[in-house]
Amino acid sequence: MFKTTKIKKYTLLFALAGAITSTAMAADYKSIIIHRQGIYDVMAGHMKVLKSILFMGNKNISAVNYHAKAILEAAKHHGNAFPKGSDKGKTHALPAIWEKPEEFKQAGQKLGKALQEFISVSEMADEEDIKEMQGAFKKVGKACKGCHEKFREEL
Amino acid sequence: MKKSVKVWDLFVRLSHWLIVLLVASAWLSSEIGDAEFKWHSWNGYALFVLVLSRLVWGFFGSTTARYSSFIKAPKSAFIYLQDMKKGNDAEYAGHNPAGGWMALMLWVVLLAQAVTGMFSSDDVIFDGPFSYYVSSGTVSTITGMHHLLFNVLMLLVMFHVFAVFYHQYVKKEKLIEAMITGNKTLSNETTALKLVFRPFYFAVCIVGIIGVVFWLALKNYT
Repeated sequence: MFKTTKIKKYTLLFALAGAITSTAMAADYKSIIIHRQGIYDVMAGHMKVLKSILFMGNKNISAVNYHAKAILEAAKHHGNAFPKGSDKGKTHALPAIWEKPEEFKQAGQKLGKALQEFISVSEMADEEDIKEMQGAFKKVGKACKGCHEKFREEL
Repeated sequence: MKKSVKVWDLFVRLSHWLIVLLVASAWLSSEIGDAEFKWHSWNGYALFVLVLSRLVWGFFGSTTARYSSFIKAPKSAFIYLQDMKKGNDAEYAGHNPAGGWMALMLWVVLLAQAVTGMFSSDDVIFDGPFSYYVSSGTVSTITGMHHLLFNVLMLLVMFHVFAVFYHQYVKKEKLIEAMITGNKTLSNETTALKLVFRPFYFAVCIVGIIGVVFWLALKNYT
């Protein structure tokens, strides 16, 4: 009788310890998840601005290059944004990110390449280059979506 | 004695098969289409105008196209299905009581699908034309609904196709031919029912009005 209670007690303690550690760990990764989601918001903001210029007639064509570079800067965080364990908590990141790290890395590099191209196309660009910039922008968008399809939870 | 009679008007048939094509291409264009969803958008607009017109045709169209002729109390749909299980074959010029509800459900889900699409975003390139009117949280909720409704639609389509195949190949009622030619082979009692047909140009006017109003809304408010 006494023994079982003791075992129960230990089990309880063990479970409690486990709960505390995992909660503490989730809290550890909270800053990482918030950070990377913020980075995505930054990129999405630039994408929105670019869309208004390239497709909706906004005249700030000289700003395209700045926004393209800004996305690349933000995208550079990708490499450190998904440490092991940061799949816990409020995130839309799919397990595939940690299961297929090589594929995930390649998807990131694809974006990097598309962004480099976009940056060079938009360098010193004016209204005549809009078609070319639209094409490069669409390639960036495709790289984003290609990664979302495999590594982001569907809404 | 059985007789071949006209039951479906041209607009009913044309809109039916156009909806089939548009749903197929809406699905394809979202899976393998252009990254900006340009084709998918126009596809959705076309569906919106067509389905809305068909819903209006339910008030002003030919007899078999009208809700008043095919929307029965939900209970009668179940009674119809039970009777069919017992082997009692009731004959209908237009929709049977269960089929009428299926048609209405399909249109409502299709319309909801078109409308939610206009408020959706892919978080990358595509923002639905009206998504600027609501908060980004609402946009992602509606986008989720757009994805969910597709599954609901596919479920309804499966039931619809299954039911039609059952009538066509088990009960030997030529429903598919009827939706193509407009004619059904019916017994005399049913054919005695007076069916009124509205002219096709009347339907074209409805599509035209809805189309123009929608186009103006897109042009001026998005």
